[in-house]
Amino acid sequence: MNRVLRTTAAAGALLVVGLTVNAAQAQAADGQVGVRETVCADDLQFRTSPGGARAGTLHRGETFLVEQISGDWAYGFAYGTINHRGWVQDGWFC
Amino acid sequence: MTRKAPLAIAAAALALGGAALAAGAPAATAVEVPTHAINVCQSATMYENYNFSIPGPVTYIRTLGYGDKIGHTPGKHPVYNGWASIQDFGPNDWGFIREECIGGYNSW
Repeated sequence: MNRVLRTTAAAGALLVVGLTVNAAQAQAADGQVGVRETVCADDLQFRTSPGGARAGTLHRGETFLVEQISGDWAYGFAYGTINHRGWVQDGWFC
Repeated sequence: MTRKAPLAIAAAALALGGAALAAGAPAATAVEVPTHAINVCQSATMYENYNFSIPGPVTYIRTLGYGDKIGHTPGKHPVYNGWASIQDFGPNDWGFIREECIGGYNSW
């Protein structure tokens, strides 16, 4: 009986974790060139080059006009409290 | 299969799920640590961003005191109209302070 209960509890926990992961993944997506995307990360570092020096921080709800995609990085115009062109890691848009 | 096998499998799957959940948070891309320096002003106001539409710094974060440990790599981290992007090694966050307040490079 205990064995059944423990296995059931573990399966239930797995289901909860799986749903949470899916929910997190569903909220973030890659950017599309020409689209003014909405940031879905709490803090998204704005950089001078792909993986380069930090030049600002974008927050959830702020927008970024994607002008170019290069690998895992998106180049474009950051609105909100930056209003300048630069790079952010791709994949964190709503 | 032994009696404990289902639980072991479930635990391993949970661990994998946790890793995947962690991957759902903003990824921490490996970034080079900036050159160590200190704030050499009596006090230096740190802002989160530099807003080019003003232009000027926006979103107050905190005030740094003399000697506070910061990081800034000259020539690499941007300086906009005298406002330099720095890392505050106290809370380990980033912002902008006046460039003239950065000194004591490699002193710590």
